[in-house]
Amino acid sequence: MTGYALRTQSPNPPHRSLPYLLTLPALLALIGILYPFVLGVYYTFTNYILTEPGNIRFVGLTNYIEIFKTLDFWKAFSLTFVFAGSVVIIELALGLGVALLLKDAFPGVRILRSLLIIPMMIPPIVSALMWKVILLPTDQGVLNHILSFVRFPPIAWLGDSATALLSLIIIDVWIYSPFAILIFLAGLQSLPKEPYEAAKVDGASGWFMFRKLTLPLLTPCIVLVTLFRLIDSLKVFDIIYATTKGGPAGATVTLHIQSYFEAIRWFRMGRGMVYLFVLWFLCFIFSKALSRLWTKVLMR
Amino acid sequence: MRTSHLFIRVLKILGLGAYFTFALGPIIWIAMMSLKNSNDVIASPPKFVFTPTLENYKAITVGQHAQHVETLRPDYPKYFLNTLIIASATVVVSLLLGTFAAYSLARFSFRFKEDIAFTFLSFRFAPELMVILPLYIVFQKTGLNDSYSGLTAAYQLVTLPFLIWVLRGFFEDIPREIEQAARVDGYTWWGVFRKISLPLVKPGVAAVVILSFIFAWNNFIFSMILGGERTQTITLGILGFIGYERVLWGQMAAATMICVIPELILAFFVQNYIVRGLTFGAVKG
Repeated sequence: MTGYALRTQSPNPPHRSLPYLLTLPALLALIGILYPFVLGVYYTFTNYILTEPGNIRFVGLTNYIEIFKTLDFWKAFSLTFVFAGSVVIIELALGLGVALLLKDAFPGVRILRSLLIIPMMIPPIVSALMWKVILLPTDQGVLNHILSFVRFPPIAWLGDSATALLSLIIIDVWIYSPFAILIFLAGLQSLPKEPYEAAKVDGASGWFMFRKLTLPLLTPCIVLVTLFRLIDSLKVFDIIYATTKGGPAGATVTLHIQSYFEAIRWFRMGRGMVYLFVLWFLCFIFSKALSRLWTKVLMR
Repeated sequence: MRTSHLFIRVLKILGLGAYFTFALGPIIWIAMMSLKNSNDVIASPPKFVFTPTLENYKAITVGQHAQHVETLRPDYPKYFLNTLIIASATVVVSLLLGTFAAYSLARFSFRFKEDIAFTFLSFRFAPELMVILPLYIVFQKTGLNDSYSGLTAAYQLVTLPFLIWVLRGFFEDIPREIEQAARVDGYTWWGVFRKISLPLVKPGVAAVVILSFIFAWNNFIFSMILGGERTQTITLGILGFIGYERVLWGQMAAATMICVIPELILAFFVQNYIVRGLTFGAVKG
């Protein structure tokens, strides 16, 4: 593993302008992306309604104040964090657990490791749709059918506001736990051998070694999985759009989904962009903090 | 001692069995579903044993009217082709824009270098709609919405930061001494880049190209907002099988298989690079 910040000294370029010339095309593309971003931030201060593009008025902080006063915003806000927190914790635990099982060589382990990439490479929207079929309510859904073998009553899964969020968490864990597993596997395979041999000589138990050696040595992996999975699950969109579209009864409306409703379904561009700006800000803070933490644990 | 050892082994096997049933079960179920006829597919309780048929695949590719399967002229081949065009064009443009940037960020020191690199990275962590919704307004004004060129430009957001960061890591892996030796031999930087560095990162470039292609192929939100009737992509097409007017589970399953099998084959070729790619070069697996 190497840190984003751990760079060796680079030589000076042959011409001072050369690096800029080489980065320029990509930078221009970047500006093409930054322009809509800035435009979006500007929209948060306007009353922009999609159907009345000729009538854009600057309204200052009105959108922000109005939205922060609504219960809808805080519901979406907390739901976003409940979802993100749950999937990050489950994926960390499951990822580490399965990685430990796949760490040692045994017949077929290479095939199992290869198979792990399947859920990650399928479009998330398609994975979600596959799960929608599997989680069909009543006995028509195959999961309910299998559960009925052990006398479980059918669950409505995505169709019930009590289980809809849980269903989404299951789908997310299905898609992204291989990502955590593969990172932990890479981490486990690069662990130094000496401290373990020393601990064995001292008669340390397996659990003790896991807690005092493996976990601390895997800190960079834990931070990295948290970084990628936390940010991506804060901005979750595809799997909700493909399954519940925020329903039933608003039980799965996250900030990203609500911004889509505001801007596209209800044409309130200004308000939609406020939701997005808040979400962007959260993602920005967390990604900054976690990537800084990551370089710090690597330097240690 | 020996019994506890055996007990742990059994637990391990059970754990792995449970996880891989969870991980592979859904895809196996969808593969089975794609081979069911229209009656079997909606059977309640669901059928594990059935006579396989290819009618779903026929219906979405050539539109053959098999019994009980209602199908209009299939649009699915068009979606497939659209996605192929957009994803390929996206990767080519990213490669042209990004390779030099990646090399320059890896090899030279210059002012604002890390700021530039981090700005590229920050888009990886931004909610997509934050850029797409304003871009939608821009596209409507400039007539770029529902156009291949517009989507290719917008898709750069998916592939360009990825390509630059991962390729930068590959260029950094080349021992500096090799390049320096070539410079001493009288090569210009361009000669070094073309004759030495580029050939050395070839496997990395291949992996980045394939993974970028898969990310572009898998994208949904960009084509949903910025695309339209003409440029509709495969992910939207698959979603279209399940709607208010029609719920065609069997055809959806067949469409899913046609969508994912090519990319899974591609992914297996670059599996050793996947962790590195997905972490933007942070983990060199």
